[in-house]
Order: sequence, then C-alpha cells, then structure tokens
Amino acid sequence: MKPLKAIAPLCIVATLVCAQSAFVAQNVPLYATASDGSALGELIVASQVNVLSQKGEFSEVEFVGFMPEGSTKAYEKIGMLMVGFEAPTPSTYKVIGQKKDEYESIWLNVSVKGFVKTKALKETKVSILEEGKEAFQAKCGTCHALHPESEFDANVWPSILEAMSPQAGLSSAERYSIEKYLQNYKPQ
Amino acid sequence: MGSLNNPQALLNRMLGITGGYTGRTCTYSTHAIRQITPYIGGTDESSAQPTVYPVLIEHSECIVFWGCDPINTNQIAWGVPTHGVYKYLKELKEEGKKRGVKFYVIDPVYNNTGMYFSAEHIQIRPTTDVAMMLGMAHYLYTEKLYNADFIKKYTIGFDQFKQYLLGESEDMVAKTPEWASKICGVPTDVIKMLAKECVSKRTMLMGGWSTQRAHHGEQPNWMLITLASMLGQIGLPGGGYGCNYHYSSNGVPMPAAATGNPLTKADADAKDFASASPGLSGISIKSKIKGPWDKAKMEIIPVSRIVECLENAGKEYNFDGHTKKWPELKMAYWAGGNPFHHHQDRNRMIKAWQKLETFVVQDNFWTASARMADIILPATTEQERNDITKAHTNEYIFAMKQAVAPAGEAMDDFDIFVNILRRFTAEQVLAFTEGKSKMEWIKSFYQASFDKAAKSGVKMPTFDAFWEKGYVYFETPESAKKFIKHEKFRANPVVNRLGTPSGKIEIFSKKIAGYNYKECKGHPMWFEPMEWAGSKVAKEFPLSLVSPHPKYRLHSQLNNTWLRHLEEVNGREPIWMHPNDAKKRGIKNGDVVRVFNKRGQVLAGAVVTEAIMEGAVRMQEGAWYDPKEAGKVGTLCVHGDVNVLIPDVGTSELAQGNQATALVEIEKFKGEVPAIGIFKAPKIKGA
Repeated sequence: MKPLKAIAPLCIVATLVCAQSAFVAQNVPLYATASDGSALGELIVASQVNVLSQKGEFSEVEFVGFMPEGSTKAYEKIGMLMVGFEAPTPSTYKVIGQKKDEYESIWLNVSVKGFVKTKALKETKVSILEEGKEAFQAKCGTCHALHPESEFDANVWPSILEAMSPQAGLSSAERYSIEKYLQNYKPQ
Repeated sequence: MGSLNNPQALLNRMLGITGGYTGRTCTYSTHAIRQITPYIGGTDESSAQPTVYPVLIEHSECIVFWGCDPINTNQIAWGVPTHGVYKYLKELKEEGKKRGVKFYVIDPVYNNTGMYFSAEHIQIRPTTDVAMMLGMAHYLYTEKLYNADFIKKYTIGFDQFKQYLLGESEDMVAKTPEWASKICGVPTDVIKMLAKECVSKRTMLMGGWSTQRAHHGEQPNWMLITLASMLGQIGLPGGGYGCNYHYSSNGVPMPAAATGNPLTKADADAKDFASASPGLSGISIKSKIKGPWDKAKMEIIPVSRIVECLENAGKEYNFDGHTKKWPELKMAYWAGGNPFHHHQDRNRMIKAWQKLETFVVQDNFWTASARMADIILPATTEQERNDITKAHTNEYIFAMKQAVAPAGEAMDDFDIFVNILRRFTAEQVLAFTEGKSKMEWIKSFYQASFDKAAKSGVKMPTFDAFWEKGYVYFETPESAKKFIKHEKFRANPVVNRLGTPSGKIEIFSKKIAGYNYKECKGHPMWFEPMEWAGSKVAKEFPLSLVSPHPKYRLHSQLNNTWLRHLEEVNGREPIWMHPNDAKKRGIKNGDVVRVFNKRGQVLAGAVVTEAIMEGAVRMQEGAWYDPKEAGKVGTLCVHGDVNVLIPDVGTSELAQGNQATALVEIEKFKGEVPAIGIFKAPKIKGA
C-alpha cells in the first residue's frame, strides 16, 4: 500500500474528530456497538451528527433532533420534516428537552447515540446533496417537466415524493437522497 | 411517448448543453391546484394518491362528482392508459345499486359520468362552485351538523373562516344557502339537502380540475377541503375527498415500488416483493457527462403566462409569494406540444408571438403551431421508431417497436437534437448521447429496472425476451387495495403531521395571508370572477362557456383523424346549448353558428340539448385553430378553437393559473360557410 493511501483515512478521521460534526453520506444503520451487530435504527442521508470517538473502522456518533411525541422519526430541525433518524420505536430516543413552535405544537428535543462506519461520514454535505441533485434530474424529469427546486416548501416535498415514488420506482435510498437535496435547496 | 424520444426532456437536455434557456413551472392542467393545495394540506392534491376504489366500493354511501367526468377523462393518461379504472367504476355502479349509494354530479353539463351512474344532476352556473360550497358550509355550521371535533383536532384557522362565513368579517355578508343560490343558481333547498346528505352518509367528494381552471381558481380546491373537513370524514374508509379520480386511473391500486433496499422499514412493510414494480427511467434533461453546460442558467416562468411574459419583458410580476421579472424572450422552441391549441386568447397570442425573432416547432403534423413557425422540424410518430415505456399504473413495461418506416423527412426526436448539436461541437454531441446509440439507451432503461427488480426479488425476463414478447407484467399486492387517504393522519395527527406549517389542514394559512394578495386571502373566499353570469359583461355576452376535455381526442391530438367525424357538426366543433337559449336565437340543431365575444370569434356546430343547463354552453377544447385569414388578429376561426374566446388572465397572483371559461354570445351564421383548411398541408413557397 502506498503511504499516502494509508494515511488518507486517518486524516479524514482526524478532521472529523476535530470538527466534532459530520454528515451521513447515505442512509446507514446506526449500530449499538462498534460492529455490524444489531442496529438502533437508520441515519438518513445528509443528516448532521456529532462525532464522539473512533473505534476501528467505526465512529461513535450522536444525532440530535426534534420529533413529535410518539414519533419513530426524528427530524433535523424543529417544525421541519427533514428526517434525520428512523427508529423502530419511540423509546430508542433519549429526550433531552422540549420546545413549542408558533402553532403551539410540542417538539421533543431528542438524542440517539451509536456507531456508524467512518467511511459513511463526510465533512460537508455539499457532495452528498450533489448526488441527490443528480438523482433528481435523472429520475424526475423523464415523464413530466422537472419541477423547479423552489416550487414546494421543505415540508411539502416528502408528500410529493411519497406520491411519485411508486411512479418513478424510487428506492428508499434514492427517495431520501432526492428529498434531502430538495429540502436543503437554497436559491442562488 | 417513450422513455427515449420524450421531446420535452430531450429539448431541455439539448438547450441545457448549448448554454441554458427559459423553462417553465406548473401545467395548463393543474396550474392553480398545484400551487394552492400544498399550503392547505401539505401536498399537491393533483398528484396525491386518493383512497382506492375497492374501499369506495365497500364503504362509500354518497359520491359527489364535483366538476369532474372520470368516465370521459380516464380514457387517457399521462403514461400508457390501461383502463383498469373502468372495471372499478362498473363495480362501483353495480354495488351502488345494491347498497343504495347516492351519486351526484355538480356541473353545468350532465356529463358522461352523470349518465353512467344515473346520477342526480345539480346544475350549477360555471365558476360559482365556491359560493355553493360556502352555502353548504353555512348550513352545516348554523344547524350544528358539522363535525366540530374533526375541525378542532385536525385543522387550524376555522375561527377566521367562520367569521367570514357568518358575515362578521371582510364583506360582512352571511354566506347562507339563500345567498349562495342567487349566485350559483342551485335552489336553496337543494344546497341544504346536499349538505345534509353528505354529512349523514359516508361521502366521498370527488373534485375535478375544471373548477380550478377559472378566474380565482385557487379557491375551489381550498373550499372543497374545508367542506370535507366540516363533514369530518377525511381519513375514514370511503369518506373525505380526492382531487384526481378523473385523471390517469387514479384510485386504481397499483404495484408497490420495488425498492431494493431491504434495510428500510418501508421495504419490511412491503410483504410481497413479487407484487412490486421497479418503474422505468427515461432520458434525463441533464447529461451525466461533465462540462461547461453544468453551469448553464435556467430561468423559469409560470407556464400559462407565456404571452404576458412576451408582452412585458423586464417588468415585475408576483407569483406564489415571490416578486420576479419577466425575462426577454427572442426565440421559442416547441417540441411535442401545440401552444396554438392550449393557450388562451388566441388573437392576443398571435400579436404577442410576433415579438419573437424565431419560432421553431418540432412535430408530427401541420398543427396550428407548426403553421406559425419559422423553422419546422418533422419528427417521427411512435409507430415509426423504437422506444420503451410503462403503464401509468406501473403494471406493465412495454416495448414500443417500430411498425413502419418514417414518412418523408421525419426523424426521431433524439436524432433531430443530435443533428443540431453537430453544428456545435463534438463534446456537446457526446454530452447529449453519452456515447450510446438509441437502442443502447432503450436497453439501459430496461436494465436499470431489471437490476432494481432483482434486488427486491422481482423476476424480469432478459431484454431480448422482453423485446420479443412486448411487455412485462407486475402484480398488484393486496395491501394496495386497502389504501385510505389520510388514514394515518386521522389515526395520529401529531406523529403523522401534514406538510403544512402547522402540520394540520390549514383552513386559514398565515403564509398566504402574509402575501397580501388582493385575490387570494388567508382563507377560502368567494371572489366574483372577471366573467360570469352575474357580471356586467353578461349583459353583452350572456352565455357562460365551459370548455371541458374532449371525448374523441387527447386535447388537440387526433383532431386531424377520422375521429372528428364522430362529433363534428357540418365539419365544425360542436357547441352544446339549451333548447331555450337556442330558440331565443333562432338556432336549430345542426346549424353552423358564430360564437363571439370581445376577444374573438369562431364558428361551431349547434347541438341543442337539455344535457346543458340554460344560460351555459359547452365547447370542448382541442379543435384545431383554422383562421379565415392566417396570421390576422381578430379573424374568424372557421373550425371552432374555443381558446379564441377564453381570457388569458392569471387566476390570481398566487398561482397565475390559466382559465377555461368565458362569457360569449351566439348567432346563427349567415352567408356561405367557409371551407375547412386546417387539415390540408399548406403549400410551401419555392418547394
């Protein structure tokens, strides 16, 4: 192995640890331990996590988000349906606080910790969203004219994709990738 | 149309590679509904899946077809129509007879669906549906018949709406059934009866798109959802509302998506992977090959405002919460479309079109648009080329095999664009083709589906076997036959919140109210349309014209075939009028008549029938524009293009949608009836 190749992953790990935060490159299982064992749930593409430590090829990470009480999905931001983590049950999450939005809806501030493969993490989400953009342009403009990214709000795109996924035969991974690209879109 | 030779996708791809272009958002079909409903229910109700037919057949007790004609419009679909919906409509009719299901059709016309179900016809004046719904809402509220628990738990903003409804805000007029009756023409007791019927029976409100193709077209869908909320049956089997039952077999259960990702919960829920479809890709508007074209700028305009854009380059306009500027357009390129059919106010359009330096049309036939073009590029029909496509319902992937050799100079759309790019650079040609031949593209679309299906355990034949057989069929799982719209939301509106800011159905929208638009406020309202039976214009032009989808063509497609002889009267597009309206004007069945208003004039063939209410007339969209003097503003269309008569004014600043109604007058045509010229190929100078 060339020295540069051997050092490169270490550099990424070091950067991630220093930066304390990273983004998930695709939908990945969040494991209870630093192994391919049982998963606590799934981290969703482009979500931000705090990197806590390293263990072999795994990183211990924490996802912090918001969810309505009783939900199995935690969202990245309060009041926004940008899925960060999907768990089998609501009890997977640790509740660390709660807030009310302007419509008096209560949002639990939740956290979930576990291990992911370090190679599934990236420093920024730019290239991750770029993949979503490519999928959007490849899959969503073939039957009808491509919708402008700004056509719908971040909270509306999930239901549009829910309706269109069977039509377009999108996999869950493709759907989330496109959804996150559209939800993160900011007009130039 | 095919996954490869999709003219619109290819045109976008070619123009993107050459440096960028002005494209469009919205559609002429769904302009207003698509803009307004995301604010109300957090989704685009034109595409959201409705409760499926097997659930309606089992549970619905009352079905209201409000401004829709599913029997007619389901003949066509966006993808290939497989017409599975007719089996369900038949079952609904038969089961309806057994169970005493009530069917109502609310429409100025006793349409195909009304006749099929022997539905009770509630004749309503065009563009007054919101008034009738408000009358029903007022009755439900004052008689305490509405579902207050549903309103409280699942909606927000009812209080603001209630003040308007009771005449305590805005216009300070109570929206009583009596008030509504004066506007919509439906008797007061019928408004009350229908309100009682809907709230006492398990009722499905099937809203069409005709009501939103009208001035203030944002309001009808908003009000329909508000009314359905007051009925309180949203999320229950067979109750609630659906706004696309008339379109592309919606409501027919379809195969689940073969997702190929066994880790996700969604896949775990799809118990039967064999009953899944991988879908089918098509050519992307964006090349996978990197190049300077990646940085091309794309401007967009609301599609039906194209003429306003041409007229007002550089000026500001409002649209959906934003203020933008109309770009300056010097050239227009139309592939696979016919704007001189689907755009409104033909004479204004002809004038505006003269501002373009160049107009290019790529089509199969000498349409009205092709005759307006500076450059015409003849494209092959589906029968003259190979391609691949799928059923709209995803039950099939089809091989589209070439049946005959291309006629004349016609080329496949794909080849036309390649040949244009050959005038640019080899890199741009490569970016377009990605190094694949047409058959390699077709195989690649199939292979992508094949691979995705394989990951999910769905077996598909090899490409060669598929091409030989002509199709692949995918089963629909039993679970798809149980889908109920909003079932999860009803079960838990906190966890399964909608995509609105509040997570609930927004009878009042803070966002819309914040735009401060004159003609689209924070809650659904009755706004007088610019032209309707009660407006000043009606004194001069007293007949309310509606322009529904045609029965024997797909918009303007097929109007140049023998199918037109099934309906035309003296070679003219038929116009339906009530016997009393005909008698007043000395018009008899079969007469050629002149239909006119301040925007223009067309000839039509009179069909005198009681299937249309008095005061309204019906002329289908899609008859080819045939000007007596080509290119002359104001000239008579001798064939019957209804869009000569319809105003080109946006629904409101919110959606900027198109209209499909107008006020007109009709007279018997005097003199010699001009010959139809539109179906003969024009003479080419110097050819």
